[in-house]
Amino acid sequence: MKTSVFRKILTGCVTLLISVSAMAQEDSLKDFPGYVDFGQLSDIFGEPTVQISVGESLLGLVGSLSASEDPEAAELFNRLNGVRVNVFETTSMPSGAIDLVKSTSAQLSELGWESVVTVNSQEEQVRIFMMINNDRVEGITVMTVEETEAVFVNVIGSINPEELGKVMNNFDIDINGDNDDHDDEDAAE
Amino acid sequence: MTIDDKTLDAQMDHLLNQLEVEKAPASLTRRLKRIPREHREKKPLLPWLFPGPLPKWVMAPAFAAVPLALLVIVMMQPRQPSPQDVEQARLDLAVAFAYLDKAGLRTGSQIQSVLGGELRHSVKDKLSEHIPFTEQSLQEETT
Repeated sequence: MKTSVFRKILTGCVTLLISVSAMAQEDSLKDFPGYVDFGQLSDIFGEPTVQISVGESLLGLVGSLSASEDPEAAELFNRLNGVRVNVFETTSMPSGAIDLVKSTSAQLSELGWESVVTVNSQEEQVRIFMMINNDRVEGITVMTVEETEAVFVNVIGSINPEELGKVMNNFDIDINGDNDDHDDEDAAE
Repeated sequence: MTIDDKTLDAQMDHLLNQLEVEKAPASLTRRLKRIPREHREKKPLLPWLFPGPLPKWVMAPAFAAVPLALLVIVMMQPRQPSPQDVEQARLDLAVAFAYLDKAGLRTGSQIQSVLGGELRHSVKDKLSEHIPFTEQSLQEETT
């Protein structure tokens, strides 16, 4: 009986400590101008299917390890402070989703973010924002909401968009799971 | 008691009376006097909670707090990421950039469908100055 209570207390403490350290990582990014607070996304979209938060230390390590094989990527990673991704799968456009995108966009504009691309329709909402300070991009934010999926991406750090494009080209990953099709096409070519 | 015993008792009393009172050494006297001061009854630390002497288990939370404090200190230390962590971060970044690319593809296709062939190039060129992945997405789509 006593052991069970002690275990519960210990489990609670460990869980608390882990969540505190995760929150600490998120908190450390909040001070950067490129950070975006998307609000309570799970209130509208439910639990995320993909949730990524890569902090400065891991980015630095990935950068230093990629230096020999991909110097451009290494250069980019070393200048990034964090990358955050939240992906939600939905069966229909959740109520409040479009309002969330619009209100977040308004907040970002007030904070000095530049709206680069806007797709505004009932079926689809896409926003791409950039935080530009002294001709330097310090953050990119992408919000995409459609009937089946909602994606929120926040790249924090000093970004050279041209560099970003090249690095993205080098990553061979297909989030739609169409890699096999591409492989077949490549083979046919 | 026999007469002999009585005689012996009287002799013993007589001899004892002849003995002088032995004085205790000064150090022993001091030590004996210190006893009531040193062993004064202790007041309870938490009289409202434990009016009597503290139960032994009171120290248990204190002992439990020691490993917990150590755990906190260990967890607060910057952890060296393992090679698996780094590989996972690499994959996470690839996924993140794939989603960025997807957004570029989506906006690219919107521009294409709204503006058509002629105007598309002038807008696309302007846009790709800021977000080159839109340019790439458009190229992929066109090819």
